[in-house]
This record gives sequence, C-alpha cells and structure tokens, in this order.
Amino acid sequence: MSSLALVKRIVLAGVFALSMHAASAQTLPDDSAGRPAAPATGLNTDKVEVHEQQLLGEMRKLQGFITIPDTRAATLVQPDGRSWRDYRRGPLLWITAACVLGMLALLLVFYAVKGEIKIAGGRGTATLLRFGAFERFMHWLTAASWCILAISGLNVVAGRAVLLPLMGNDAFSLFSTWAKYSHNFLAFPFIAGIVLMFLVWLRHNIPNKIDVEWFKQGGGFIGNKHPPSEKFNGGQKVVFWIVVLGGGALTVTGLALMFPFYVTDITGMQLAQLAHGGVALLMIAAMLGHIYIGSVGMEGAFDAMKDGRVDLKWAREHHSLWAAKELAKSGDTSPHPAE
Amino acid sequence: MARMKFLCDADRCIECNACVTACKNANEVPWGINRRRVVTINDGKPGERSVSMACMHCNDAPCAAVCPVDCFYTTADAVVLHNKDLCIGCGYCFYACPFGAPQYPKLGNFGSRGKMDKCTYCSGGPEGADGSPAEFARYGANRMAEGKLPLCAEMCSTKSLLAGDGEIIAQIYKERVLKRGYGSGSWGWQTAYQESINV
Amino acid sequence: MRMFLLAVVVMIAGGIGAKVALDTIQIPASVGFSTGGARPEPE
Repeated sequence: MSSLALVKRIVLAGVFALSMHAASAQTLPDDSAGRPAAPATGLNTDKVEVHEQQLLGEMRKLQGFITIPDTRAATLVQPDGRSWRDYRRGPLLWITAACVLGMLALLLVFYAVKGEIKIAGGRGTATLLRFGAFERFMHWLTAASWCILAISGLNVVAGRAVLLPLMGNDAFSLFSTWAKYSHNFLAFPFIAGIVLMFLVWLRHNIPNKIDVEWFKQGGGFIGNKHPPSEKFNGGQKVVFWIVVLGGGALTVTGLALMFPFYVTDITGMQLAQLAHGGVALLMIAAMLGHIYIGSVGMEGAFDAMKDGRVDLKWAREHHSLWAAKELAKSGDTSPHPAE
Repeated sequence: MARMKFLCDADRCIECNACVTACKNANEVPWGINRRRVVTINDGKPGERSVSMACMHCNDAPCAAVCPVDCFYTTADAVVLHNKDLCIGCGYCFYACPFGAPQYPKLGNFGSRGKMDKCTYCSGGPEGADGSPAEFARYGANRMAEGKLPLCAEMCSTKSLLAGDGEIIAQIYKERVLKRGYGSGSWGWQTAYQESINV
Repeated sequence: MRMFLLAVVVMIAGGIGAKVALDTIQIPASVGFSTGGARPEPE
C-alpha cells in the first residue's frame, strides 16, 4: 500500500471514529498502533483489517485452514504461479530454441567446416569387438526411449507454438494426449537404461590423467592428432556423466511430477518442473552432439553400436590404449599387424 | 460488455461453506471436486478471516498461458473457460494458477488425472447449445445464459461473496467499507486483476 | 541392429508394464491431484 493511501485510510477511519461511539479495538501485533476503533457493525468482531498483500509480503503464499479433505486447497493464493507462467511463456521458449535449433546450427557449421572425420587410409578388414550384446541393448533401450521422451517433452514446451498451427486443435490435442502417455510410461524403460549404463560403464568412466591430456590436445577434433585413449575418451566420459547425472535429475524431478504433491507442495511442483525442463533441454543439446559424432560426424563410429564390432584401424586411431589392451587379451601382440 | 469478477468481503465471511455446497449442487460436480472452497487464515487467532475462493477469471489468465494444447478461451464477459475435449490433463494449469482453481477428477498418477474441471462462473462450456444436458453433464450450470449470476454469490447468507460486473461490485464494496469503517480489501484482486479496491 | 530392435520391443513392453502396474497399485486418496473420483470410506 502506498504511504499516501495509508494516510488517506487512517484519516478516513478517524473521521468515522469521531462520528460514532468508539468500541474497544483489538489490534494485531503488527497493526498500526493507535488506529481509531471502528463501529461495531458487521461480523468482524475484532474490527481489525487483515490485508492479503501484507500477509503475502510475509509468506509469499497464503495458506490457511480448510474443512475439505483436499489439503492442497488450503493454499489460498500463490502469486508465484504468475512467475511460473511468465517463465514458461518467455525464457523457456528461447532456451528451447537455443538448445535445439542453436545446437543443430552449430553441428551443421561444424560439419560444413570439418566434414566427416575419416579413418586414415580408409577402412581395413580386421575388426575388434567394442560393445557386447548387452551393452548395445542397454544403450539402445536408453536411446530409443530418450528420443520419444525428448520429442514428447519438447511438444509440451513448444508444440503449441510450432505444431498447433499446423495440426489444428483437435488433431494436436489427440497427438499431445498420446505424447503425454508415452512420456509418462516410457520414462520407466529410460530409467532402467540409465541405471544399467551406470552400473556397467561406471568403471570405464572414472576421469584420469589420460583424459586431461586428451582434452589438452583438443580430443582430435582440432587439428588431426589422435590423443591416446582407453575404452572411453575424455569426451565420451563427459557424455557418460551428462547422461547419468542428467538422467538421474530427470528421474527424480520426473517422478515428483508424475506423482503430484506426493512429496512436495505447489512451490516444489513448480521448481520440479523448472528443473526437469532445464536439465532436459541441456541434455537434448548434449545428445544432439553425441548423435552427430556417432553417425555422420565420424566414419566407423556407428559400427560400435550397430553390431558391436569396430574397424581395427578406427580403434587404434581413437582408442589406442583400449585397442592395444584388447589385442593383448586376444594374444595378438604385434603392434602393426598386416592388413 | 461487463467484466465479470468475484469479490469476497473477508470481514463478512462466516465460513458457513454454503457457497461450496451451492456450487456443488448447481453444477453437480463429482466427488472430490471443489470448484469453490473456503479457506480460513489465522484460524483461531486474532485477525482470523475466511475467504471463499474459486477461479478468479484472471486478466491474462496464467492457466491459459501455460496450457500446452491451448484449450482455454475467454468469453465476452471476461470469464475464463476451457474445452474438455482438448484438455490432456497435464496439470500445468494447476501449477500456474495463483488460486488453486483447477481440479482433476481421477485418482492417481500423472497419466490418469482426467480432464481438468474448474469454476465456469456458472457459464457452462463450449458444448452444444446453452443449457443443454450435454453441457450440464460436462461443465455444469449455465446460469449466465439465463441472465443469472453464479449461485455461490447469489445465495451467500451474509452477502460476503459478490459476483457481477467488476466495477459495480467494487462500488458496493467501497460503500460498505466507508459505512462500517474498515475493510480487509479485495482478496485475490491484486494477483488476478493487478488492481485492488482503494477506499 | 538386432539389439536395437530388442531394445525397442523391451521399451514398449516396459512402458505397458509400467502403465499396468501403476493402474493396479491404487494410490491413496489423500495423495495426488485430487481426492476425487470415488466416494471416500466413512471413518
């Protein structure tokens, strides 16, 4: 309340107090002292004013007592809903555009400049088993569910702006209903995939000195050097931790959203949604990069997840330490086998 | 046309919950759905006030802004309504709503919330003709089409809850405050309409 | 790509399984978005 309005109110109250007989007024501790008593009319027996905005200033949201069983209804006013609305309507759309379109543009530029990273001298005939059947299975379980989750999630954020004008209300609503169901229920295979990858690949993804050197040399992306690397190079370890930590955060916030108000209140639900969307968008940007380098960005890379066997020359280039170890295991110790 | 609003005079509300009952009866809402409710602030303490709250039919309604499928629309009376054929039950309007107005009819997880339901200002919905059985079954009464105001406010025993053209009910409230000498203000108005009634 | 196909099949089965499981386990009425849908048991 502006000070002018306050003065006006006090003066008004004073005028009324003078014209009518005073009753003893009970004031709230933080009420302005000396306020003239109001006449004893109406049902307000303590004759004090209780102002919403003052209470909101103290508590951010107003909660009280309610006689119906639905305890969420006891929150009377939560103006933060408007802030949440403003974020969803403005910044979130820009962040989405930056993470999806920005990343795609970046990859396109990178591809135009660098092209496909070739195996020096072309593919050979010898191959090496890089990922076993179970490793490929859990990778694809995560990847397939992730793709559907990402698309259906992006639909919730940007579908209204992008797809709705194209599809019309009814078709878009039907599509969104199915997108929502698939988002909810394919979350569980996704979580399973994340857990499996964490358990199976953790021991290969502890950062060490080799990774530092790998990053110092630009990972082989800048220039044409191929820094040595074990089963996973520094970049892949980063992807692993993005997936595990990001997927973990998405799991926690996603379950909170899926079981609304089970563990948290309205503020918690809003924060969970903000975190879920933010982490998901960063992960989408990272995964676009991962998909790029695993497909058109590098010759021979896709083989690892296709049937598990990679070109030996590719393995030597990109994962020299791992390739040497694998060869040693299989008894072939010659550093330069004839091909 | 008029800009319809609700105004609850907190100094008059006696928490009788008759508005809640009237709403349920007028609209035949299912079990567990409360389009209107009465919340008591400072319960049992000095400065206790009860406020009857439902959808405030906000300016630039947050629910409409966040709806992923754009199922909300605003009538000529500035009443915010939604189309249950389009609603996917995602629950986002509940997160955005400052007043906790959206309700969901089903138990359970994210996937089975059911179509959102909320106060229609007794204005029915987009279904069929005004006052048709199909409209009543999905959205409740359409008293506005009959020239009547929402039942909650119409039958409020202390005339605490006012419904009608925002300017007229604001004037009624101002006169009240001047006459009795105090007023706890128009609860929810600042959040819903970015204005409050200055007396 | 056989592992990819297997993963897709398992994913769909897992999704349907999750739906069935969540529909079977009734979440208490005091939890979730609404107390509604069914008349509560008298205490």
